[in-house]
Amino acid sequence: MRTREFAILLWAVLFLAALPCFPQSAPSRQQQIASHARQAQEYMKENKLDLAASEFAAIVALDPKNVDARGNLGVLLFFQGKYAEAIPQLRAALMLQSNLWKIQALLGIGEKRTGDLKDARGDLEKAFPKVQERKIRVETGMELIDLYSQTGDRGKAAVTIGILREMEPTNEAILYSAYRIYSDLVDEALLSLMVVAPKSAHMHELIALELAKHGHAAEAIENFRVALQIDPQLPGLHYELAEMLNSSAAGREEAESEYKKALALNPFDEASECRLGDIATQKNDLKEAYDRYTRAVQLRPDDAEANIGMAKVLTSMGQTEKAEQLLEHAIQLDPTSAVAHFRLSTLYRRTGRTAEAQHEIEEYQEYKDMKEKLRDLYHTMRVEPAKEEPDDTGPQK
Amino acid sequence: MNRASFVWRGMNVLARIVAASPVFWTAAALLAAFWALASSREATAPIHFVYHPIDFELDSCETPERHAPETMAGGVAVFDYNNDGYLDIFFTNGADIRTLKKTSAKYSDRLFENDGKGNFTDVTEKAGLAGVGFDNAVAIGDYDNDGYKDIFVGGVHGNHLYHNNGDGTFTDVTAKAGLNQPDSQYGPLWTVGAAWLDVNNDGLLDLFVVNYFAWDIDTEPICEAAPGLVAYCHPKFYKPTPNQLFLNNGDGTFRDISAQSGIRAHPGKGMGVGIADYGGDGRMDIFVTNDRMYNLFFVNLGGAKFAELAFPAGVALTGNGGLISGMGVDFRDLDNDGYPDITFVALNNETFPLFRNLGDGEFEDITERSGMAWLSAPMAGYSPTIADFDNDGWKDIFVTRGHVQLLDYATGAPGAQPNTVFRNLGGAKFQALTAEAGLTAQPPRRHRGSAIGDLNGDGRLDVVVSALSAPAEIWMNDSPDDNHWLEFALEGTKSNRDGIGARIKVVAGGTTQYNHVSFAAGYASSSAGPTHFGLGRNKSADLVEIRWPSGITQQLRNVPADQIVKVKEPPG
Repeated sequence: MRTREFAILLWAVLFLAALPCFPQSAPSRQQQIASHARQAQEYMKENKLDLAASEFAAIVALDPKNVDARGNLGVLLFFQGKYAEAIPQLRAALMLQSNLWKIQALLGIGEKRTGDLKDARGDLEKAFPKVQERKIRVETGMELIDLYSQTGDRGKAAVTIGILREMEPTNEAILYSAYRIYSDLVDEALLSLMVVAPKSAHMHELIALELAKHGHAAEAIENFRVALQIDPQLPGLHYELAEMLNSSAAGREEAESEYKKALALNPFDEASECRLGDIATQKNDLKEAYDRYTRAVQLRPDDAEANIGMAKVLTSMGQTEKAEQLLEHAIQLDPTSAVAHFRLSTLYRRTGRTAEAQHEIEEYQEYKDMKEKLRDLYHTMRVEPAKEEPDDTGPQK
Repeated sequence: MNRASFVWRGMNVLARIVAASPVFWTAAALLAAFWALASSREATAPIHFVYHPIDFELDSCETPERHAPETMAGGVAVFDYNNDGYLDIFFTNGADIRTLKKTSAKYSDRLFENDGKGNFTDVTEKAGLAGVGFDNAVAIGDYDNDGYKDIFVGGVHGNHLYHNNGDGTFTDVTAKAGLNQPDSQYGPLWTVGAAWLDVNNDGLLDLFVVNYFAWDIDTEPICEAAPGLVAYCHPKFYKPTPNQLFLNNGDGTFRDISAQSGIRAHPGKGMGVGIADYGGDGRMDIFVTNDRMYNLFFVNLGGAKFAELAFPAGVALTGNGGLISGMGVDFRDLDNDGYPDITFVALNNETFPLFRNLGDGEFEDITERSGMAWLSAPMAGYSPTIADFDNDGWKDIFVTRGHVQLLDYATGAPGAQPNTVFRNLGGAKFQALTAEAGLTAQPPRRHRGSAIGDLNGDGRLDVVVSALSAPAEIWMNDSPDDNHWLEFALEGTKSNRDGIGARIKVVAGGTTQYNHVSFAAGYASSSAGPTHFGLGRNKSADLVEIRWPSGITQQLRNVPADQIVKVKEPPG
């Protein structure tokens, strides 16, 4: 844990652990405790942590059930790297009051650093769902993920990182950790599948997906076909094959057939319905396209692509007002849809709304550029060129 | 019993039957004749070609390093170089890729003279047209109005203007014309297309030059389709360069007005150029396709000034906003409404876009509506040419096909492909004819440039196609219908001598067609024969109306079909 983050944690613990800490006792003892507490605060302000810890220790000696003193002493010892000494204090504080989630998180981290992984996991698991402060929760989650990874419990690590990603979607460390966990999961699943079902339809589907990812379309299609021979009813398989065929030069007729098979197996397959709409549009079969997109929009009203497809058909049918509404809706659903912005700009231009058309063109250009860059980046990552000169290998123009 | 012995036993039985039946061979012969007839009828589409060889092989010096120019060569021109009335053929050719010099005879540009029957003789040496550099584009035009068509050749880091001396020879006048000036900002340019047009209607042909991207063999990246497998790089690895406009001074020299005219302000990665008067104002506009960049549409404002209006006109991108690999282009009226439409080609899964001119300053994308989207999606094309190949009164589109990449797996599509003609079924609805049109008579190739013209005087438009590292192809049109036709060879007097920019309207049998004189078509190529019209079953045109670039309008009435009509511009 970084120093700055420790400091945040420290102050959070000290300030937020404002507990009723003075039990009934003789005035002179209480005065001593109060004096030590004041002194501790002074030392804290002066960043004299050793001395502050001594003051809290004095309070603990006078009043062993003082939760505040136990907690603060534990925290200070923790920050000084004295985990073994901190743990009993933190644990004692928790015995006195069980809902000190930050203390529990710190205890878990301390236990982890002293090799007590079992207790560490228990304490961190208890603390993680309860800690409210964002930074402390992130630290707790990351420590927990580290523990899960050490014990090979990737499923729990994935659940935890999922929660953290929702909390902080732009956190660099979380994103990296997510990448590692999901990659490990992929590898693990792949190896497991190879062991338990090396000749299964799923295995061939998986191989096909990996091949497709690396641009080996023909081999991917071949593996999808093998998978289908093994299990023609496997959910999603017809769609996956259709997608590969649809992107290849000569497989469009078969792609159409595969999308239809996917729909026959799963009548709620909105993605296949939408693709069949695309194909019908390309064939200029407006009625078929209209029916397909209508059903797609019914199945998933929030699918921007289906709304755009429908708008395209309506434009061809001369129903530009309806098309315009659908495109505006599509942009609400997906503001980054370059296609929606471009088509809307065309409609605006034709109805004389030049300024709005221009605005949509600008939006189009912004998102188009952004997506092109992301595509390039993704391609670079996937293809891994053998030579270093190019930063992309774009074999296709 | 294995299968072979079973078949042999069957043959033995059949042989015994034949021996016992004297009428067998007669019946068999009749059956075979019927079969052949039925097969040929089935195979003959309304547009059909037969292959005719010509002794030229495009050599772009393809190397394992895959330098960009290697895959972009191949301009073709069809024109009558010696005014004998027969269309001749000119091919540009590559050079050594490192030196950009024609270090071997195999790199020579070539001129072939037509004897009028479709036989071609190599006259390159006498003509002095072998060339010196890595040549790409060719544009034909009589820039000095002397009645002999001249040749502009654009290439990698060097362009040439060849003046036709009228005696079968040409003179390289590049330096004298002022067309050899390097670009001070962008350095040496790579020209892949060009068009002659009169931008200010002063009767002199000006020159528009399409430049691809900035290329330097020493700094070019190495790109791979997969580890260890080198492929041609995506255009994004190269910087855009500006197109150029040279104004004809009328004394054999040209003035670079790229900046003043508004052309230079829009650098791109140009591939093709189409010219037409899109709005009917009498001024020629210029459409330029770009490779993976927005197309450019230079609208002529008059006074040799242009405004780039691709977005407002709706031709910058496809209807879906697709940024595609724009290749060659043609810009002519496809639906006979009097407004020139645009078609250009691209790579597989990008479709061959078709923009219909609405006549109000805008175009609409009718790629899907015309059937072209579905038909062209699996194809990669280089050079589209709009012309009426079956003389039915509707202009069709011939597309040379082939991918940029050599390696099939790198593209998801075959690198080598057959050519295809898209037959116009009327009103810009199309049918793709490939094998049906006889175009699979040759193996698939990486086809590049193309030019058209009636090479054998039969009234049908033939096509000359180049292909990388492969023999060129002449596709002689033997379409079955005996439709009638008319061609117009214009001679401008006040307008430029070639009549480039003249709009021709033909009314025959109640139908009206339009075309205009433009020699710029397809990829890197030039079709400079007479302007062709198919008349269907009509044996004459009721009315022919020519609107010359000078503004003069000329009418001819009751023009008999099946002839080349020479029309001289009347005094204004």
